[in-house]
Amino acid sequence: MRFWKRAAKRQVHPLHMGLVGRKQLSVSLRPAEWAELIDSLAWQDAKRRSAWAPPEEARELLMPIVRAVLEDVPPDGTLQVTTDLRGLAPQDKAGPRRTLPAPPAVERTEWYVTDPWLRLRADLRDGSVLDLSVTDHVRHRRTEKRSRSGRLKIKVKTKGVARVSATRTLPRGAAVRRPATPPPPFVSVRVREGERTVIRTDAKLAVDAQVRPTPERILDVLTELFRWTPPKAARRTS
Amino acid sequence: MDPAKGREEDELTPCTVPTGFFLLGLCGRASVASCAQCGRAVCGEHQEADGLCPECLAARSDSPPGPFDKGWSRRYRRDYYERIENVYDDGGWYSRLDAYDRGAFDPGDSHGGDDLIPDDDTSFVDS
Repeated sequence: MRFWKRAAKRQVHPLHMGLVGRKQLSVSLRPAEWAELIDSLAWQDAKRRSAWAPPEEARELLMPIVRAVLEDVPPDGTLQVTTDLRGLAPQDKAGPRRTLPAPPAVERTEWYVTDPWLRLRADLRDGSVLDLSVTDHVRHRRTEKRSRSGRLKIKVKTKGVARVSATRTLPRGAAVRRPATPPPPFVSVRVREGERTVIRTDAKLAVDAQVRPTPERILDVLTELFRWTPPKAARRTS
Repeated sequence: MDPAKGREEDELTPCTVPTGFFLLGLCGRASVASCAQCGRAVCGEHQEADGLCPECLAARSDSPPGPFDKGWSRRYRRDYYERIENVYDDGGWYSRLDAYDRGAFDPGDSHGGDDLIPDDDTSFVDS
């Protein structure tokens, strides 16, 4: 390998290589360690036609969520992320196919693809713990029809939802306050009060085989968790 | 003004740059300078190019930074708080950010310890 190639490779963070090569990442890092990884990704993202350029999904989907949450993680806290950005194509995500009733000369099959592409856990600076999971569920229906002339027509329809589920476990004794306005219709919320109150939000967002929910939509769901605690509860700063 | 005296005052004044995304706060580290544009006290970590605070630097840039850029979170946070107010129909949500952002300019603000964190009633926006 030429010297300049070796030099370029040395500056790429090892986790960056994994993210580019396998489109997967499973790490638990402190904010300073995340900063090193993000620096490495930024450096390659700025270069044109770089072999180590981060995947589009990392830039558009993963990074906005990670960077927003990182802002609330103290220097000694950790942010765990397990992500799979390969999409719906890998066969290990597809469930078994089943045949549906159909008229003669028509064959219909149906299968579901489940893609749990993001799991995240963060120790926040007010002492609470944030958990987030995003899973895409997409139904595929394939219809094959053979005409009298023997010509085969194939049609595939997809329909999907992304299930976003998030919980925030508050520190012991933290007070909660019902927000002045209800959440938007696509967000449901449950609060389990106790020694450590747990606030949980769930949402079902429409997706299809090509389009995932935007990071903005996912942050919309997370927002509800933080409306239940008054700003005063978030006192400790960096 | 005596530069040495000014520097001494900066050291006594905590940094008032807003931090956090959902859990807003003020930095609170010992400041080393004032922002050349807004005069906000800034610590060494939050002192950006041209002597600006991160907020003023983000406001100055014409093109929105990419998600890997250093100043991205601040710009994104501002956009998020503006947008989420409509999603949740919750006027108090944006005023949270506004209170922290304008807190540095509150003449009655006592800069010390936990008092750095403004309460609900320090909001400048009527809800």
